[in-house]
Amino acid sequence: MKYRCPVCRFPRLPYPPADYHICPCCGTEFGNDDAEFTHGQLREMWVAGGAYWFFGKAPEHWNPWMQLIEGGHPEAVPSFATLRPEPGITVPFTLPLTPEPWKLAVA
Amino acid sequence: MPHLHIFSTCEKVIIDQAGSPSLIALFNIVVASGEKGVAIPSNAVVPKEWCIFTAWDSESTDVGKEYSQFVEILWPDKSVFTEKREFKFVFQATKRQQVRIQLQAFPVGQQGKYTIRMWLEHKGSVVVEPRSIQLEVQHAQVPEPS
Repeated sequence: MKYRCPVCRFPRLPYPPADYHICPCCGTEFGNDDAEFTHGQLREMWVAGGAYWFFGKAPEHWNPWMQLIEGGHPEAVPSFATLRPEPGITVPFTLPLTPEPWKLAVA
Repeated sequence: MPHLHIFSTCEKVIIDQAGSPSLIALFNIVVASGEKGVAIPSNAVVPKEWCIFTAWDSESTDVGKEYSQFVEILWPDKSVFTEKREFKFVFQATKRQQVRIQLQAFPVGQQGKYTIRMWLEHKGSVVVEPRSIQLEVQHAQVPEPS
């Protein structure tokens, strides 16, 4: 059985987040660190520190921001950028209902 | 063998009660504006919902068979953003199979063309070779207030 870290939302803890186990992702020691700070505070601290992998080598393709979003905490992700879609580069054209319906009129 | 009818990305897909899809705001180029003087980290992701939509037409021999559609997303440098993910479906008679994949996060860390690869498998064998579409992300900085 896998458990999810309540701090960084890493979904593959091999043990429950308790009893002084340590999350390999954010480094939280459960029963110690979360006795002093809330999970939200610990999450903020982890993000403020760069959200780096704590122990050993991170899983392949691991992304801390995806982990937080998929783990239900998108608000914890720094606002790196605002998104704006650019309009299409071609002008839309219409297909007129004329006697030659398949002759395209390109605007 | 299934035939691909549509494969696209957009902001939203609405499916009405009759099952007809409407694709809202097809993506062309997405501009990510970061704060002035602050570089966007190369692994940056923005919480934003968007969709990958595919629709498949079947032949009579496909009805009742289970297929797996796989999707993976690559960063512009071709490294993997999301590992391949599997979406299973079974063709029903006379029905076009629609797959709406809703994503919660939009990758913006790298400037360039992101690749969305999609293919179809049946019992572990590829039956429709990978198709790719590209989605361009440009970086811009928020102009200073005048």
